Amino acid sequence: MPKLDLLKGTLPLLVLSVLADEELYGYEIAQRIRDRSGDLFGPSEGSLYPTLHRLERTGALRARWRTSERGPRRRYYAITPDGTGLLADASEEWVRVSAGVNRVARRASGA
Amino acid sequence: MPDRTRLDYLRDLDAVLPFPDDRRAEIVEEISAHLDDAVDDGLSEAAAQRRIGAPTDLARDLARAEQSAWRVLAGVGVALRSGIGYWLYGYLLGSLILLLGSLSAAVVIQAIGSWLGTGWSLMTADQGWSSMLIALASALGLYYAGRVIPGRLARASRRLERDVRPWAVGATTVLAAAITILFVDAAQNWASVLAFALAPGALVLGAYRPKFLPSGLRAYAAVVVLAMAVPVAILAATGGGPSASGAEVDYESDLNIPHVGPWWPAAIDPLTTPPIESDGWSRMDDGPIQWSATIAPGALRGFEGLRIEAWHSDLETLAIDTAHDAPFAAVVPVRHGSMLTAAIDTEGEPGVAGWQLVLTGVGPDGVRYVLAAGSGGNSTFTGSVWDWVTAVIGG
Repeated sequence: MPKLDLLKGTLPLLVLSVLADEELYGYEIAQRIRDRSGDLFGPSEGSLYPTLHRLERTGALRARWRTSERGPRRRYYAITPDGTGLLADASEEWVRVSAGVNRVARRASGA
Repeated sequence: MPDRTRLDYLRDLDAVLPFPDDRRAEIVEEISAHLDDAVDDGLSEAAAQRRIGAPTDLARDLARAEQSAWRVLAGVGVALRSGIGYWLYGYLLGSLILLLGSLSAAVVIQAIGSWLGTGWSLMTADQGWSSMLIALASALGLYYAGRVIPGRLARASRRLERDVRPWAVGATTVLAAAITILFVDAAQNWASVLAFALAPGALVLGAYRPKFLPSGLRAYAAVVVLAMAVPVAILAATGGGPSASGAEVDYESDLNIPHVGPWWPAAIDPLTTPPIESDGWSRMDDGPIQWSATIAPGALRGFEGLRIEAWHSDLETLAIDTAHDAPFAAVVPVRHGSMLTAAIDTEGEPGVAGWQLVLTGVGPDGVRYVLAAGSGGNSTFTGSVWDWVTAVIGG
């Protein structure tokens, strides 16, 4: 399933993108990705937390506990300056890759 | 994934996460909050859990980001250090229990023997039984080492315990087996050989059946108290105490010397020329037996094929064991003036506990005679389990 493979590889980009504007916790991040994609795709929640922890470990995110509007405390993630740089690089890379994919797909469809 | 309660799910996750306690608690809390939100938004508990995935898969993915070759090396170090520490704990605990148990058993048996007038005793010259107790204590240590090694390796290397357990247990069992079978030199008998050979299996037992033995000291303390209380109660009831132990040795018996061969007539007739005036043996630093004898001038003239033979003998009476038709060791003595000496190894033969040294030689008439006898003692095969096995196979 190419779509799923692509999505799996782009999860860090999606996470950094939704965190670029505001601080969110895990469940909200998943919801936000789902909403922004128009319900086209949502991250596997089993992959989301390993990705968040990996980005935190590499310094792209920082996390802190604080109470949420929904009740008990949640672990909120925020993008760091390193994460912003990583997001810029990843976005640029994604634009190049998607442009390449589009060119190949257009030629294959005869457009 | 079968339906399970939130508590079960989180408990399973907590059990498989290869992280320190505080980190595990944070992850479990974070996932619990996620499940809360999913259920609040209308998902069933089972569906919410299904979205996150099995605890094992989630834990494996979380751990993957922190895995490295260095962490594996660190994990091996941590696991070995913990394993050695817990082995020592189990070994000391086992030694204490076995020591107190043996003492209690000795007191009980002697008290009963005293009461019945049988003179029963647990005293034995076969040091292999002491080695067996050491092997059992070591097995208890290996059991406790087996309980901690996979978990410590898993957490330090950021891998799931179930993933590393076969490798950790396999490697440490091979290591423990190599040490106990190849490198531990001790007095051996069949029981100690069996105990040393099986001891590494306790490590596997500890790793795969960690609840097989209790972990608290309380249970062992109860065993020790019980072990001590029983003999005390028996002693109090019988009014007895330890008696002189062991059967009396009848050194005046003939020690079954004729089983070896006929005496040279002159050897037992002081009126004729005695070939051997006196003989005896000594041993220094667990080396071979040093046998020596003083020879009368002109003695042994006409004798050929002199041999010091070591024969199996009864442990208590030292009488030659007639079940054996040949000595288990024999050497040619060396003559220095009036001294005849020989060095013979009595600890290299499995199954030997008591032995009797006999000097034989072929007389002028072509018959092999016994020229001197009566020098006996006790010893136990000393070496590793491997030495014992190869000696048995080698005959």
